[in-house]
Amino acid sequence: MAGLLRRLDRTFKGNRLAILGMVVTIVIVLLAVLAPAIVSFDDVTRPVVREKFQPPSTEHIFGTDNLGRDVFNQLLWGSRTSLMIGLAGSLFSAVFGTALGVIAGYGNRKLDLAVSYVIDLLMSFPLLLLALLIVAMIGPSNLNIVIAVGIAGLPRYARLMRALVMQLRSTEFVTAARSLGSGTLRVVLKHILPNAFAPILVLLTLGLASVIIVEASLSFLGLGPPPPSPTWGRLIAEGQPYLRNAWWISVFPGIAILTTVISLNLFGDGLRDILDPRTKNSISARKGE
Amino acid sequence: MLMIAALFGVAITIFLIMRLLPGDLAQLILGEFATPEALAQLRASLGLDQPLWRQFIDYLGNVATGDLGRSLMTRRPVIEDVAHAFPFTLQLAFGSLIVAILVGVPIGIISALKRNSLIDRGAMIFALLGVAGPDFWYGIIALLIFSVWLDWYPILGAGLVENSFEALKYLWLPASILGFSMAGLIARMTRSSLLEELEQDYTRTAKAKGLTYWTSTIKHALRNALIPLVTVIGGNAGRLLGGTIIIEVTFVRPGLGQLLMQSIMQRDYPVIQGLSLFFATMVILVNVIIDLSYQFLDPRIEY
Repeated sequence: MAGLLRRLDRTFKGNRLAILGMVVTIVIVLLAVLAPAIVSFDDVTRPVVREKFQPPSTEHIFGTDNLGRDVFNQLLWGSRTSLMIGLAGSLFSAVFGTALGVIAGYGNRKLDLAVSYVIDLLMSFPLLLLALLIVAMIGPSNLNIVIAVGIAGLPRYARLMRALVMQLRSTEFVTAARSLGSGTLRVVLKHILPNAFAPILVLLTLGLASVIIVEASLSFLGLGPPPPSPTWGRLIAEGQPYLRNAWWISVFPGIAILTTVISLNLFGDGLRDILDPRTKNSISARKGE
Repeated sequence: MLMIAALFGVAITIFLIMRLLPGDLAQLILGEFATPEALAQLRASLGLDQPLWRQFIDYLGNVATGDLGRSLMTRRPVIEDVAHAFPFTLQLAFGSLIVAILVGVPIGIISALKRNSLIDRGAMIFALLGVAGPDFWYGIIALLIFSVWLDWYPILGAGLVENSFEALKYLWLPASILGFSMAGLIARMTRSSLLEELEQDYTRTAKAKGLTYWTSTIKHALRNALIPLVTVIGGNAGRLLGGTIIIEVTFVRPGLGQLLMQSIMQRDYPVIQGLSLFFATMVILVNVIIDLSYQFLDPRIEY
């Protein structure tokens, strides 16, 4: 254990916060994966009216909500929703954003202008507004939310990828590959994408945090994944009317969100320092821009 | 010119989102038990029976003349509803911006001058909390502390716009919460940009020719370090507006965000469409103003 820590310390160049972020992220992922083994879905969602508004105690460490459901158990299951939508949405953004970025960066000038125009267009919508609009029109199901947050998050990947491709296409190894007769597809797949992998991975870590925030915001606004599956954002909204008597319903889900996004940010920043040493003084992921 | 292209694109995007997504708009509005006659009538009154290109031309024409249609619920022109709610959102956005600058810039300066000290670390954690955390939850915590426990804040609402003292009483808490999230960004930017300027030759020259620490650092370096501040503010105009939506809902302020959520819940499509257009136009407008302002801030930049 001590040896592992020392090795991690060396990998992250003494950035202890990044290690902490990584460890907490792993713990959260494990909890989400193991949730069904800890408590069954029925036990989480079944109302137990005589136990409503129980303050935190040894029996219910985070208390119970207005229907007597255990807040901790709901958070446990909520983490599955958050992480799943976060991952799926981020991957959606990453795949389509990267593809658009390659087209803009490697294509001819007209293609670049067209794609860049679309990207700029998407960027002129507040991220939350874009996701809200799409969900409002196609309805809040898990898949639709993934699509909405995926589209809303896509421009950032496209911009990054475009810049990377522009940089890489004029390098000597790409020129060499082309003069040896490699086609466009081969150059992109074999030479450009592998070199763009690290920055994209960093953005994915940081982007995951912002997608989780957007999903939580949608849930808070009543347009998140539909009940009965609990979500962190909805729990905060449900607790708001009872703030005066039962603060724990709204407070603990927020701590869960905060812990997750901060860990991801610390981990992502650390990852960037290792994988992408060109960009120092990192400014990490933002939600909603 | 660019701005017109951007506005045109935004109008198209919103039109497409509103019309091409699955489902019949008339059916969605009237529900599944509507009679065919009622559906046909509504389609005709919304112009949905026209071909798509025709609908788009009409829509563009209306938008260009400032006609955003009428609300399906209140039958009032959308533009009136927007005009009524906008002051509340504007107050919130400006208030947050002021808080963000007043908090963010000093923190950034201290961090840069005391680089890698405990203060610097603490400030950067503060910045991370602001940048990455959920605004609406900070809002709830603030309500819990200042309304429920301390009773310093009238729990919900916005007061009257006309009465500025009254408005301020309702504004300070939501503006501080939204400002806090942006202060983090501003603090980080101020820090890194001031650090960069401090290493520039002109700063060294200023020090070498015997100017005091205060003059060389604050007057020379800081002035240049703050130019990117404008970029950060412009680049985050969208984020700020997006933030007002959720903060308005948290604090029940009758602004644009509240109006948007209400019309989404009531499926009042003309209002949703008009509001989206308004939000996006604001973002574009702010960015144009920011672009133009560089010339005044940095005479080296020309257009």
